[in-house]
Amino acid sequence: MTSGHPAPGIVPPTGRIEVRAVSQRFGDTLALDDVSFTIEPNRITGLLGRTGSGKTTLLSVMAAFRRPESGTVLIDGEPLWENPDLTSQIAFIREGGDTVDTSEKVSEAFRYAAWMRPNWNADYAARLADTFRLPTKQKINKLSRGQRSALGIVLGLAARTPITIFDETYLGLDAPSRYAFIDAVLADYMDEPRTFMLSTHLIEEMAALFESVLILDRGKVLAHRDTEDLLGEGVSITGPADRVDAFTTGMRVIGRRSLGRTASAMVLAALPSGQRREAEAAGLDLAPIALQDLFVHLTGGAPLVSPEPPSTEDRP
Amino acid sequence: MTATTSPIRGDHPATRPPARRWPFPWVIAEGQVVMALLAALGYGLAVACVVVGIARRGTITGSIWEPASNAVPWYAGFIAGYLVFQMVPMLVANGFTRRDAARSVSAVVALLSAVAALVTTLGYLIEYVAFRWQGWPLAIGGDHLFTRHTQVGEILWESLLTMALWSAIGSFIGAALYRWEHAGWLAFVPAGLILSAVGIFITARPPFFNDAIERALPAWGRSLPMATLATLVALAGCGGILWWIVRDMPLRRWR
Amino acid sequence: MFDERSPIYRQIAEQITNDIVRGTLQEDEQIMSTTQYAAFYRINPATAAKAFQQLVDDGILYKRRGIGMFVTPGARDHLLAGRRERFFAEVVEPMVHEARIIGIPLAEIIRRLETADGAPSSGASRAGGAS
Repeated sequence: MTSGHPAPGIVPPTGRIEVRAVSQRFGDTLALDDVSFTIEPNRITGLLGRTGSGKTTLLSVMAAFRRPESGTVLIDGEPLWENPDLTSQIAFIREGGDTVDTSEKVSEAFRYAAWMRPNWNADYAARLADTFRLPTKQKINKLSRGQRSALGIVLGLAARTPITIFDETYLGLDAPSRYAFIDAVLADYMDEPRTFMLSTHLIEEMAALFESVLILDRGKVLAHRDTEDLLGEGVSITGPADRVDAFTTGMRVIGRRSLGRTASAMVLAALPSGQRREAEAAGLDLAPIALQDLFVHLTGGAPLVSPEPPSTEDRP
Repeated sequence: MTATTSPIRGDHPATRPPARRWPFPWVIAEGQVVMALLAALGYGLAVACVVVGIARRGTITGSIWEPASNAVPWYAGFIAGYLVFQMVPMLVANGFTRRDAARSVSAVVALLSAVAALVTTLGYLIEYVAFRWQGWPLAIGGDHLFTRHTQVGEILWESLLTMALWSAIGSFIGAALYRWEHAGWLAFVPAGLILSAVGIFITARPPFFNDAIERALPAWGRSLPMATLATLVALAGCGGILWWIVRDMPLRRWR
Repeated sequence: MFDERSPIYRQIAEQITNDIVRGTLQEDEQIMSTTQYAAFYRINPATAAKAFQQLVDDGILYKRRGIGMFVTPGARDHLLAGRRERFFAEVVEPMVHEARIIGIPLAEIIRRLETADGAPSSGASRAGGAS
């Protein structure tokens, strides 16, 4: 690789998605608030966010399903809106996939897909339908919830578009099918690396799949990091409350719990091994934090709600 | 990971698909044409039964197909609305621009309009043969730009204009219902106005003010050339309305 | 399987270095490809690639283009040396600290260590034990 010119047969990576200052309001709610980020090509990115955080709206904007009130989406530097070369590169699958009338059969949906998607692979679709036990002769409105999700998955993967986005397409899938979904995405990604984006609430199940994660909260980007980097910085520090607080001064504390005189602080900090040993020497317990827990803490924690107010007798 | 090439395979990411140009959507058209022909067959048989029934019970005083054929524009309009409502969002969701989606569906709708016009014309021909054979009178009751069954050219042309117009109106009503749901029913207002306006020149009779309008219209007003002109203008208007609705239409949740 | 909490690439790297130290992986032996790792553990292949890259940077693995990743000759020795260095900081110091907290005298520890090792000590008394 000497010159900047790619060797014959090598196509420069496509599918860089740039979201620029996108805002969208629905009535009184600001669903997206000046959101900007770039998704590098050929990565699997996880989109995490609480219900109502704006995930689906964001993905809709990214797939040109909706024109944002303000801001633009660019693919490889070109505006996406009404650009046929670019819109044809994106498959955005939500629920059971936007396909034919539900009174039609699954096989009909495949027939239409073959016409609409230039890269459609019919054999692959058939094999995937087999894997997910999707009955191709069945009418779409007679499919179970899980089967509809499977239909969406098959439509999304067999389309083989450079950018493939799945919005919580595992709803209703049983555990083996969810694993099959992860396996299918991985196998497809390794066979033909391209841009994948998956929004999910089942963070722990899918965390290992994501090279990067984008956390959306109340219409804003809370974090956009490589998963491994984020995991590397999440640390929970448990021990005597005063020592925990002393150790964590100046750090980004994203959560704290206490039980009597013991406290547990969750921080996002790159702790070198020297500092870790210091902590351990001070009697503090350090442990990594799972992505799902990091997410919960970053998005405001999980407040304890009980049917009755806590008894005053228990207060220390 | 700062490198922009895939660390897994330094070579080929998915290649860019060829630039999207829209071939005629046969996959949509096939099913619709078949259904239209079957509907025509069924309707034709029903009309034939009615004819036989009238002949038995009473006397036939004129063309039965003429009043019956007024149902055909409704079919064309309804199907057009359905196709726009169902297919345009589906195409956009599957990578088409709104412009290409509207074009593709409009192409199918245009084809179906032609089919509908042929059906209407064929109906007159069949009635001509049958009535001549039975000796029934061939009087044409309604207001048309033709007076005899044998004016095949005029019948076909007028049918084409009618079907095209009703389809175009149905199209933007379908789009309005998709975009604004219940509020979309308001689209029937401009629809009615356009139909009335053009109906003056053609004869898919306007629902209101017929007599007043007819008195106001000059003699040369009701003619094929004028009807054609009026229809073309109206089609352009309908296309404009359709595009105005579709051009930045957000996709709703999939049903 | 992996502990999902700490970065997976670190765990993969640790797994490979452990295998090398234990002798499960020999010099110049090829390790599983990123694709195989990814499919087997259901992880992103980039994660496996990151682990491999780290080990390449540390000199534990080397890459043969188009073929795969192999264990560097001398990697085991290199790793053992590193572990020996870290042994005292990561194992012995905490043990001493813990012993102090729970009140075990160092002499007791030394006695136990000698018994474990089987080597006679010079000077320190052998309380109890085999004679």
